[in-house]
Amino acid sequence: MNKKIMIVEDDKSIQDIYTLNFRAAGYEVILEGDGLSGISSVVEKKPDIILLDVMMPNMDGFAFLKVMKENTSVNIPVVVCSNLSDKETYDKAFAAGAAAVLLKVNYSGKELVQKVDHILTDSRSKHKAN
Amino acid sequence: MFIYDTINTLLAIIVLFNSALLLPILRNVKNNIQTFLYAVNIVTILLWVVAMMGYRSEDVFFESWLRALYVAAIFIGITYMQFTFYYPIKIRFAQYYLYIVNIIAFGTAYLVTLTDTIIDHGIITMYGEPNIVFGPLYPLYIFVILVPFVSGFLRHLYVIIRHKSKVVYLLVGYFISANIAFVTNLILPWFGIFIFNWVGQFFTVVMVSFTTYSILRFNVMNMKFFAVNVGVTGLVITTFSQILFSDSVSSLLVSSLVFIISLLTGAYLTILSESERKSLEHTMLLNTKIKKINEELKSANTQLKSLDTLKSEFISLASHQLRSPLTVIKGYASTLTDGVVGEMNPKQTEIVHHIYTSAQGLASVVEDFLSVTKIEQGGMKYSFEPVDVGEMLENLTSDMKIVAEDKHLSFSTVIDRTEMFMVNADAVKLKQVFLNMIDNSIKYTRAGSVTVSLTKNHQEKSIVFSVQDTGVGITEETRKKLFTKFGRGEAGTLNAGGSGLGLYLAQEVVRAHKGTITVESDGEGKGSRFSVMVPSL
Repeated sequence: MNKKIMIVEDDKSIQDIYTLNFRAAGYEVILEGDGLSGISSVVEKKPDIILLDVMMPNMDGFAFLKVMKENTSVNIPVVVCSNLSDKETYDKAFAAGAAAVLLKVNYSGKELVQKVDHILTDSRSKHKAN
Repeated sequence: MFIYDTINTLLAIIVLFNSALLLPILRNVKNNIQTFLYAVNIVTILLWVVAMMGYRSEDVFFESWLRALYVAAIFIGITYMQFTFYYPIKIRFAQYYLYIVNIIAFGTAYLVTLTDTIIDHGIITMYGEPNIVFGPLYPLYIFVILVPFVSGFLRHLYVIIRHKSKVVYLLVGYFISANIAFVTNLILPWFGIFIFNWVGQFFTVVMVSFTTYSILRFNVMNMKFFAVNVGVTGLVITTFSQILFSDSVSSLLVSSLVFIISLLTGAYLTILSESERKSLEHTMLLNTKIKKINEELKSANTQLKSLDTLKSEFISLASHQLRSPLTVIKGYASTLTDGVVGEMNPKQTEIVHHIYTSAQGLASVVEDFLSVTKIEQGGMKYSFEPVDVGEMLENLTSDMKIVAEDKHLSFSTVIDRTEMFMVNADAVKLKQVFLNMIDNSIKYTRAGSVTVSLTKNHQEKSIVFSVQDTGVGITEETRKKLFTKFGRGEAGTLNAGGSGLGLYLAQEVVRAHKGTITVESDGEGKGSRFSVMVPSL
């Protein structure tokens, strides 16, 4: 089964790294440069998982999570991937419904793909169980 | 010699009462132009009242007292105006105005005393108050008296409104007294009505009381001192009037004796109250200083707190900004080494691997700095859960074995898998501690071996992780500072990199796990053994 990931990230280099790694791992990649364009296409594109940055122009990651939770019926696992490591960021992200919060700098491309694979598998098995 | 009819006796009491009110003011005169000017004003009032007593006595000095009476009145207005130049707020160029008004005052005084232009002459009457025939310039005299008062009132009204100054008592006191005196002592005599000529003097008590109260009311001790003064003056007045009304030599002697005794007692009381006032004033001064210092401390504390928050925010943001390029370097390097964009030759792979490990090293330094900041600000959060340290170490050592073997070191792991090594731990942070310690041993060992072991201490109900190496070893001196910030070991001889914060952080994390971290070494060049003991489940 083909996996579809939406990467919401404003940094062009990181977009590039993630795209290369996820495509190599067999993912279909949807790229969005900020929270606003991400939220505009999430219902239409229906990704299986979302990789979400926090600090972005127009709409940040927290606002993205809030709008998605309150205004759409989609139930997509969101992996918040940021270089902020303060407790407030973690708490806010989890409270807004993030499936996982990762510190970008800790993950190589391959490790990130493995982590996302794992979260997606978990989410699918939970979904089936429900 | 004064005659002491009812009115003059009343005026004598007013003189004494005003003098008593003047005393606490005089005490403050030292180097203070405001109180000095006020004191001068009261003195002119006293002279005015005394002159009225002399004038009413209708004796041989009648003409002199009469002119003194009208000269004193000029200076009451002038000195009042001068006082308002300085109190409560000094006006600009006050000293120059002083010269001008003094010239006008002395000029008018000259006309009163040495010419008949303002006062022609006085007329002694058999009954009632003496009469006065005014000269042609009397209206000018009224003007010279009136202008300073009006100017003073306006000045004080202005400071009350503009600066919300509390001189309202002062203004009211002067306003009442001056208006009464203006009518009874200036206007009515102009129309030939002299029977109320003394009323102005009597009502000076209102002005002096209000002003003294206004100046001193915020100082309780001054008020106490003032009360003692009034009491003492009352006593002196009473005993003094007994002398005045003595009708025989024996009565005069007794009254004089009583007067002297009350004068001495009064002086003694005044000295006592003054000494008490000084000591309390000193205490109050100290209290004020303490309050001021407290406030300064509070403000410094607030500033420090806000600086602390700023520092915390800055470090958080700086860490984010440092991590971003490192993420890109690591991301691209790993993309290349993992063959995501095609295979590289071995040399290329080696080069990119160096880029990756260097970026990883730099990322660790950034994380160490951030962790120290978090620990110091009490912001390090732990998420405890049951963790199998045996399993954790097996995964960890397999990675570290490769690093050690790259340096041609013998690397072995001794874990008794018949035992369970379950602890309540924050897996990520504890793993970081173990990783850091193994990494240190590899870094500081040029040749020989690194041995990792995991055992159980059943007595202590804990697990013991240790790393033994044949590296540079640790001197006693270094050992003492090893777990402090930047207290690195023999790194000077090895370009080991790192932040110099690893062991400090390790100790903090181990402490948070209720454990201990220790180091043993036989000395320089003789290797070392680091151990971590954490309570087991």
